[in-house]
Amino acid sequence: MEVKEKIPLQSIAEIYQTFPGGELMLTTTEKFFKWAQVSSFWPLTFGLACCAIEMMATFASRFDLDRWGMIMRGSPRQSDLLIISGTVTIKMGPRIRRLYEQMPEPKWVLAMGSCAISGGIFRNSYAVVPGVDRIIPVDVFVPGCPPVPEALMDGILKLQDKIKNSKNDYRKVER
Amino acid sequence: MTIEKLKDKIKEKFNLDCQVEVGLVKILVPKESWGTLAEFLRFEAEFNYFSFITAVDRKEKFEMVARVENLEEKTACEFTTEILPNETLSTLSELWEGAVWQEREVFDLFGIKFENHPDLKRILLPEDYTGYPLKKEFPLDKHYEPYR
Amino acid sequence: MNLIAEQIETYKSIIETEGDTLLVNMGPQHPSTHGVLRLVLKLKGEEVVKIEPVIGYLHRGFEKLSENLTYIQIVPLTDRMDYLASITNELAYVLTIEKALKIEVPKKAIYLRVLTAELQRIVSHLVWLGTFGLDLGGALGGGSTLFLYCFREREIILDLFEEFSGARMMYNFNQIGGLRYQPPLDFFSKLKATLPKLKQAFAEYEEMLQENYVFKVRTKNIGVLEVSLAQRMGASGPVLRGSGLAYDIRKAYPYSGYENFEFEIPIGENGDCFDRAKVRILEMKQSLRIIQQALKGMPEGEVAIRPPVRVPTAVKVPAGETYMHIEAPRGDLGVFLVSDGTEKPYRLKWRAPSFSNLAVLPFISNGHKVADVMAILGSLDPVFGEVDR
Repeated sequence: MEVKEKIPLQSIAEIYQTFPGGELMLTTTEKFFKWAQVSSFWPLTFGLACCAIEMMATFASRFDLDRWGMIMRGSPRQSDLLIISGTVTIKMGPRIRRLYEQMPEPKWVLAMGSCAISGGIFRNSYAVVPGVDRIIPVDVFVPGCPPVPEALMDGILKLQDKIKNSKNDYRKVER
Repeated sequence: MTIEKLKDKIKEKFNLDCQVEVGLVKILVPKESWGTLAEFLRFEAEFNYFSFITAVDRKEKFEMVARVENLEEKTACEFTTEILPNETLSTLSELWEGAVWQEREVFDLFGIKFENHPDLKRILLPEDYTGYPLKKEFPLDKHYEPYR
Repeated sequence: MNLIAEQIETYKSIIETEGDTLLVNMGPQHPSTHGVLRLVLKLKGEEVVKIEPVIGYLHRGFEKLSENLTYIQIVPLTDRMDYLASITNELAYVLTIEKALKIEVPKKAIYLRVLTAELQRIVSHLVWLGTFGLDLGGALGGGSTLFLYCFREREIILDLFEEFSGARMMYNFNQIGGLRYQPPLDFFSKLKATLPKLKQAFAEYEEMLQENYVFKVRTKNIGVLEVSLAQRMGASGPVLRGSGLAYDIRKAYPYSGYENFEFEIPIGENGDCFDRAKVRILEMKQSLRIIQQALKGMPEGEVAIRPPVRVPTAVKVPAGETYMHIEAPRGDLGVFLVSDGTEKPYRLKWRAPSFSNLAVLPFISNGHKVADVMAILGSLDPVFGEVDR
């Protein structure tokens, strides 16, 4: 058999630019990727405190987040959504930062409950970080103590809207 | 051992007066006989169940409270001692293993050191934390600086 | 904080060979550590040689926060401690204050407290059973079936709680001197309609206990805890009863009218994971019995010694020391209150059952496989809001 000549690999964008209308195609792939990202969040199995129980309930029988393609993953390397469900303490803060850094791009963070948003009832404590946004950037805040599962689901829908309507500018992570 | 009998025995052995409630003996011990009294409670009075040990900051001194129980006879004993802030106390962890973590917690939050403790280090707070938060001199609304 | 130094420290502890033993770090983010627990395992092959739990990742400073709050303001704080059993936490705290103030609460409040505390025990044990299934079977194995079933039953009870108090988890429902609300008019009839469903579900779980081969193999003779060690460690609740000692504070030191109710204390024989699981599943059935009795004998009348007020009025506890302990779903939950006569506590110490129960882990998991450590940890049922406080 004859050995075919290898085509030199180019970036996808360069290939598109070689023919007319290529830019148009790029925008549609972007939409396609967004659709894929939006309809299959893979959150990290990561519970901190009380809100984690409500998060578990949201994933369990009655509310069933699986129907939106959400499957819990055990490793941060495989997940793209970090749900901060509970109080962030000063001992846990650096670990959350590490988990966030281990997740591949694109990634999103959902702060669930008053404690994750602002420290909540424990804001004045010596051992609590007053809001997880002092450690990592947050996309959606879901208030409540703890938020009911419907609120968490609403937060996830908000995140879907946010991704769908955003330009393709994945936030630069400050290192 | 019934409560009345226990009271007499403590009076005889340690020359201490106890305060008796229903199923409960409260003893104020001098610091020196903390260990020997604990040994007596563990082996002779058979208080096998270790409930808790904690401290109360009385500003110029610390009040140490430990509670042990006898589950079969439904009797309990709370023994208390007073120490100065820089003093140490002999550990209970050789008599009750449950005291290992509890004493670490007291060390973590109050800074009280225990003699002969197998593993005395911070348990709840990060190891590089400075200060002992449950002391009264620690302000009520002091925050952890790096995250403010 | 010096992040780099900490990173180096953690990397050191993640993997470090030492002769033929291997040091492995597990957690604080791990699907089956029930929250934020870190375990440092020393392994020889697959066997555990030494295990060191590192706790404190959820230390929120309850005891210091309480010193800055009035007695009434602390009640919602106690909800968040053992977040699977909020009502029993409230009950322990409220009973302590009532003991110090020598308040008698109305009879209907006593009955409703018993009723809600037992419902809460069922809810708590259901979450335990569901997550225990995940520990044994994994999320994609057979384990998630049990998880889904248990949460189905849990939702039934949470609906009732939501009607009663307005919240699904954090009820803020017991207050000093009684309850905050009268139950809704159809609460008792709805509860009565629920009981047969629960009874059928518990029968299924008991069948699993007796028939399921995998469940038995994974739990029998794993993590045997001797009763003398359990006592010295201060382990309580199902962990102590699983080892064969019938000690239940509801019987030993009856509080809140438990002496009026008939129930048995299920105990285990060997003190292994199976016995601890058995005790919890049988306890749920006993709780149903208590609920039925409470429904039958429910008196009429007020639920609080004074009507709920919008502005919290000062409660002043006379100076002194008070200790009160109750049987929470996890065991001996104690409150040690030192008051100085003002409207804020001088010192409020929580004797948390999970803290003492978790301390048992290094003693009973040596010689077992790594996968069994998860089963042992699950059978101890720690809740980290309570361990770290």
